[in-house]
Amino acid sequence: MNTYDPGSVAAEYFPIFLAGALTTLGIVAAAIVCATVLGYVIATLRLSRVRALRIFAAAYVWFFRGLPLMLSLFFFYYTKPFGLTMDAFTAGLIAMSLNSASFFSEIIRAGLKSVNAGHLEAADSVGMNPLQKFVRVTAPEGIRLMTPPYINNCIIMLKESAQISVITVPDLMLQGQKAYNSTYNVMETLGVVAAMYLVMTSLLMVLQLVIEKKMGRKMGTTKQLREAVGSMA
Amino acid sequence: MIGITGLTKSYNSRQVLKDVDLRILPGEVVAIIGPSGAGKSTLLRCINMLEVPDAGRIHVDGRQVFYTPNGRGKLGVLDQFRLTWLRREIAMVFQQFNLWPHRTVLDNLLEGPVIAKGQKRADAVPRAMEKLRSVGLEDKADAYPADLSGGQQQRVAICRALMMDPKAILFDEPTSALDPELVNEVLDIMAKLARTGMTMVIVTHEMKFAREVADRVIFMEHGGIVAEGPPDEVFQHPRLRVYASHLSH
Repeated sequence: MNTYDPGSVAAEYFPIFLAGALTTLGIVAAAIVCATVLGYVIATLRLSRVRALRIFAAAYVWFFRGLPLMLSLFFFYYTKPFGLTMDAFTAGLIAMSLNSASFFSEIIRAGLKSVNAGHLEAADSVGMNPLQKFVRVTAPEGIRLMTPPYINNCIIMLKESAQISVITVPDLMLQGQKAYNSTYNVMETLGVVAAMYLVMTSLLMVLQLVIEKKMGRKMGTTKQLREAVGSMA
Repeated sequence: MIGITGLTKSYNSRQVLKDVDLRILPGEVVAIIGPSGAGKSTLLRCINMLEVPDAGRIHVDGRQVFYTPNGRGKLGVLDQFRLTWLRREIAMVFQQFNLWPHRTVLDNLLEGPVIAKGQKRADAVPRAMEKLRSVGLEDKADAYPADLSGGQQQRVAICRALMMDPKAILFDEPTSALDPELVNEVLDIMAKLARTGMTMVIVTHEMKFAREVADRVIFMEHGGIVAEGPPDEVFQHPRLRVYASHLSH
């Protein structure tokens, strides 16, 4: 006799889901790091004075922003590009990084361009060199401006990472599929998987709130807000 | 202290500085006045290379400032590294204050000496507090710039300039962005500073201040110096009287 025991899938498969979630977190974290570095490079090329570099960067953004992630995944995993055979994790990481770098570069470019020119001149005027200027002024001001769209994009990456299950990376999505293929309990399995995705995305949202609140308070925006509200009344 | 010869600069095809010569002596307080677009701010900003001239020689404290003129009018990265010495000798106070909004008042004062010059923070803090006290803002050390009035921000900016122990301070319309009732608190600090023997170059529209505080007034129009000399003399110049009559309706 086959009786349905609520919670059995969750209990039995939980360690496997957890391993899948860790794989998801790992590949997304690595892709965020790679895409941020690459995105920063593309953004600076795009702001460069050399026309050829600007065009190259614009073309990169146009190309990767305009292609589905799935297509890049298939390309790197199945076609053995440039004679390179890579495992699914590596192919997934490269595809996600190249894809997301196009989005990050736009976010970073906008952030860098919005850094107050007067604040940079003030850094010049006390004799900071370009490196010090970047660390002390450009980065802190830019990060404050970039945080909301940046975290937003990280959340999108986390969710889109489910696509890597198609090229057999054992992420949370793939572990879920395996679990309901053997238990036939799709509802409960997807429920657990959904809960785990929500936990991960929620953590990112909390991170965003923490950063915004910290920077907002430091900038004295609370007082500015009060004054703005006061002047409207 | 500062020597300028043959300074020339154009934006696109418009010439903003036409072969300007200027000498500023140690301890001298020089006010540069004139209508908008006369090239006053550009001249001032060329002294510490926030604008790169097209031609002309600049000496600061006996050292020649070597620069590479380029199409953009801003310093290239290599020149920025090479000319940090210049910016550490010549401080600047901006029209828009330009305090760093993400740092407290105290940290704004410490950035120059600690980060740029590499002094010990512990040595710089007492000096910073002393500067703040001299402008009556010692209780604002831990506040953020956004929590201060414009006049208070500009007083902090003057302290930030002083923290560099500069040979001279450039003031680029320091009171133009202030509400009228806040102008005097900044001018008072500047007058006090002038009496200490600080070399000051001040671009301003405050005629009364220029007349009372400056040792020498420079009147500029159309990218050139029209008149210069002691305030009482220069204010008699016919061109300046025309300009001044436009100011006071």
